Amino acid sequence: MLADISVMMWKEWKELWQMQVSSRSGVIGLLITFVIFGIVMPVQAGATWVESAISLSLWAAIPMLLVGTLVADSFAGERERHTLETLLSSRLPDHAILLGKIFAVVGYVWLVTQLVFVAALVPVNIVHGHGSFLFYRPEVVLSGPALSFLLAALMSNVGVLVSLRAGSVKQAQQTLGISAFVFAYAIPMAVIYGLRLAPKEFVNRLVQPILTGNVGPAALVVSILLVILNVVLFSASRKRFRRDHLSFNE
Amino acid sequence: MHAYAIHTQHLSRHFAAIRAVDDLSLDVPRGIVFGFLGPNGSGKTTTIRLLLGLLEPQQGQAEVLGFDTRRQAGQIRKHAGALLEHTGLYERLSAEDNLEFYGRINRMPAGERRVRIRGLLTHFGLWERRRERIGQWSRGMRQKVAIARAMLHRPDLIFLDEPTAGLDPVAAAGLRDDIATLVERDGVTVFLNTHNLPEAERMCAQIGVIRNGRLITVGSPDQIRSGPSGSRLEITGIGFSEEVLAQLRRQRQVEAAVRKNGHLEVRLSDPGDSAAVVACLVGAGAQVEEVVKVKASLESAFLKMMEEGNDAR
Repeated sequence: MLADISVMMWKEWKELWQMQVSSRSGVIGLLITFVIFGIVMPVQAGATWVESAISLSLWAAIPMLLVGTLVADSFAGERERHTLETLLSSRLPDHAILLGKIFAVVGYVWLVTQLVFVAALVPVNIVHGHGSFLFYRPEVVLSGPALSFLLAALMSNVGVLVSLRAGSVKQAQQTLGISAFVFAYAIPMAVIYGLRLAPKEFVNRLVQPILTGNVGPAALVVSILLVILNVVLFSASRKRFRRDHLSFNE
Repeated sequence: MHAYAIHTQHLSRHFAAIRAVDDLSLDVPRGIVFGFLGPNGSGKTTTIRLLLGLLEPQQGQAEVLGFDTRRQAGQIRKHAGALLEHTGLYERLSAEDNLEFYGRINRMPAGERRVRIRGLLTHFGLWERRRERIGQWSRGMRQKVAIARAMLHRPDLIFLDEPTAGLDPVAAAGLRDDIATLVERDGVTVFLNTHNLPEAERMCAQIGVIRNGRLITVGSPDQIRSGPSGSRLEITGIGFSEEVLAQLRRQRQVEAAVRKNGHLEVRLSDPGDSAAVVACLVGAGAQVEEVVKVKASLESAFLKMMEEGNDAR
């Protein structure tokens, strides 16, 4: 089982490498991610970037923005490029294909996210360090990687379901792009503008714990919710990703 | 070891009102190239999908290499290789990586994998270009890699769905030779879907003909060529008047008799009845100089079968 999953991951990473690192558009995409999340935003936020839990929100945003494109290419792309049927005619079990593809995307995006946040320490310390070493709060260091992993998994599971129904890679990527935009940008912006209208005292009570308090318990609750959501969505993906469902009723 | 590589009984699969495969009962012996002939949409590809366990039959059953397609499809896929409608190659990866992936899938040890990949790519003349991305290659080259992939883990049975479709004649001939050589050397069974009749005639020990999902006939290319509607006589001589021909046409075994290019052409329902034809002609007063038994080409036998099918509908 593990051997089959790792074989699938090996192929997915080979393709990801070709797509992301060996192509100009892939490299530019990665550079933009690093510049925005690893330089511009940390420098603008200043010491708050590491002293508060504000970076957690971005730790969540990167997986949401990156996973959709990759998972759509992996699942809908396999069908669009006519490689799926041959893959299904091999001895790999359905769940090994499914898990291998999901883990490959999640692993890649998780790694990029962690690298961005380690890299962000460099400009923050150069611009705002003033001789002392600025580092993330312990609960952020503990919950950030877990949250980014779970969110990447959540987006992957959603991506699998969308991709299996989509007519093409483009259609799947558009649907997932809109979802990512809504969850990673539109909703947070709506909350920020909503808070501007709320009484100042209420806002302080809400925002202060994020800036100064311990967000560990809240992150734990969110993590548990994400685990439950992932289990539910993965069950649905597994039910859908079966040879006799996938093939070939034309 | 089962005598048959493939054994199906009343296998059926419908898509809505379309009977893609209808009551298919077929035995394919081990160690031969079996040609599955039929026009586009006749059910050839669906048959392969059923045999690989990618589709479930609605009726009937099938055993491939002794494994049941419903319950043991994983075992079938483990022991079989396939080149389906599309090459199924990853165009972003190199030829070597494509084969490496399927070698790993089939759990070939690393050393054996390396040797086998090198052997196959060398055989197909692609070893020097093994690190190039497949996407930049011609269709013929990709087709060769796909065949190498199907044979990589030394399967007992290989499904090939139109392997020479879209290739130029030289590439197609080369590919046929490659398949024949590799099959002979490795002793595998090949289930070859094709509508390329000369290809089937050259490569296959047995042929099955399918039309509208139903198997019409199975036999060697010779048997199919000289089947009920495929045998004719070309008779040279004197005195083949209309009265003589009318008398000949009244014979039970004679399907048609016409004068053509200076000789008499007689189509028979039974290829063994040539002596009776000659006796009839001589008895009617004609002089027979030479009788040549002509076997129909597979193509004309096949077309005849398709015509009969259209007439029946």
